[in-house]
Amino acid sequence: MENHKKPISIVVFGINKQTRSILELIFRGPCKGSYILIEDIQVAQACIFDIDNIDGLKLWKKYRIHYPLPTLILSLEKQDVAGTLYVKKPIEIDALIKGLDKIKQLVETPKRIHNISTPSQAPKDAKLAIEIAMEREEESLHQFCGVHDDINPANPSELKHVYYDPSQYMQGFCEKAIDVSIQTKNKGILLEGLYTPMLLRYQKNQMFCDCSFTKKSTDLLRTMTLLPVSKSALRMTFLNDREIENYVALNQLEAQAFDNFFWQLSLWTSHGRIPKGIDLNKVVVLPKWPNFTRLIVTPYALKISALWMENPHSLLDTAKVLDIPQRYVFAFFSAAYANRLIFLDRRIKQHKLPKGVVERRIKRSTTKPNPHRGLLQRLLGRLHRR
Amino acid sequence: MKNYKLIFTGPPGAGKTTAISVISDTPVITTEAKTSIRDSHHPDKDSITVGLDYGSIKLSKEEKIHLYGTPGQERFDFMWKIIKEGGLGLILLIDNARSEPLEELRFFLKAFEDLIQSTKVVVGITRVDISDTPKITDYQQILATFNLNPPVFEIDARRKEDVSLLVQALLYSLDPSLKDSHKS
Repeated sequence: MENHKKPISIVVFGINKQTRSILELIFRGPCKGSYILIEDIQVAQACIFDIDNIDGLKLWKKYRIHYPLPTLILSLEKQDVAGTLYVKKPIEIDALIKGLDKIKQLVETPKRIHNISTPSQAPKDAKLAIEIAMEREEESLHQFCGVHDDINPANPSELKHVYYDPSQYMQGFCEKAIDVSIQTKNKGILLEGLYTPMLLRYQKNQMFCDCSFTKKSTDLLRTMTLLPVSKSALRMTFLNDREIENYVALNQLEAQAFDNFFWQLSLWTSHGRIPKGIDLNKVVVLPKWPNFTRLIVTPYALKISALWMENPHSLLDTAKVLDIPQRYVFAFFSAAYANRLIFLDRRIKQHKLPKGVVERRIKRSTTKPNPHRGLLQRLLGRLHRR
Repeated sequence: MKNYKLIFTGPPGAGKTTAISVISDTPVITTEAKTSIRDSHHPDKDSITVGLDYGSIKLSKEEKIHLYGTPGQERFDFMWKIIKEGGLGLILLIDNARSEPLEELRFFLKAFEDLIQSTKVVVGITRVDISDTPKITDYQQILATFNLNPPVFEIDARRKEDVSLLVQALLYSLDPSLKDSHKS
């Protein structure tokens, strides 16, 4: 049923472009136009605030003093702030809609928090271009690797946070299409039911779609990867060469390398997590170095590859041996796993190895320095800075 | 001053001079000469490296990495022996658009076998935009026959990021425990 009431105007803080696009899609779709995003806080009826963003807490303090609007806080950690509602990130649509319903109730029966002061100007920080560039780099890093702290694998409640289900997302559908391509040796598969049609030519490592990696459509593509797919609407159609040509020309689709496309897509979807069912204690086998110059290189990806090429380790041990945050190991693993570059050694389960073996492996990996380690380290530092 | 060497090798026109120039602190000193015979793979290239290319990365007042590019042509192979002496590692560039790139890979692996055995090698495949075959997997198969499994990346020798990544992969291959300067 269409919503004839005037939509509730919502202003956002600390929200990146991608999340903003998701919100817009949800407002228009499942919320049937009950809400609208606006820019001017002076006329806003409610606010959605991402508190995890850079300077989030600082901004929050300023915001809260001046704008006691009904507010929905987005955060990775539970936020218990009086007079606000909380939705956990990554955002689940149902939880967001529930939160918005409550916001709506608050707006329609206004109960402003005490000490209402005259709204003043929204805080604006003057930033240098370099700061903005660094923030953008940081933001894109977070999009690929998340911001989760290391988990204690012995704690089941922490453990469940490292898993995601690729089949709920575009990633899972693409993985199915890869399987079908390999099994049928088919030349082209049209993937329909996503937010835009896509054409996969797996044998030729080609993907055609209308969201090539220009800045504008990258935002759109990322939004698509993060929204759960409606499985009943998904469809695969086989196309021959002539049909592919016609379809590409008719829809003005652009070709791009599938491995590059799918690597990025799986990084976005995994967000520093690993596919459900992956055993954190099984040894990871990387048979070949990925072609890194054509892929997004997440932090420590080269280092992790070098370690796995020399001596396979489990995901947990890799983080321990290299002394790096788990999320970077998980992010790299998930992208390489989705792209069939990596597998788990089913024969070896490290926690079943005799006591002391893992420790010895860790020791061996860390106590065999190259005689020129210091020099190599300094050269590496120089190359990173360039 | 302590001096160390990284060696760039590969057939003529594979991009050694260019690769060194994008990461060198100093302008590359190159001993190119006009050639009367045009290379059919590089019709617009009217010079070849007859001696060597030289660039450098200064790490501190006391430390310098010398970047040496070997002359690509086999008739200068007497120089390879001199250049590779004491090298930290080998960066092998192969031009995918030449007629026998896999054979050239074999040739250079044999020619630099002793350096590869004592250090590590990385392979950069150039001009993939001109010819997309052989594939990386084809190169990896040849490398496997030499009992090698090094990083093999497609690179554009003009791109600093590509050359830098290739060298970084070499450094991590030499020592996976190097500290990464990424923020966590």
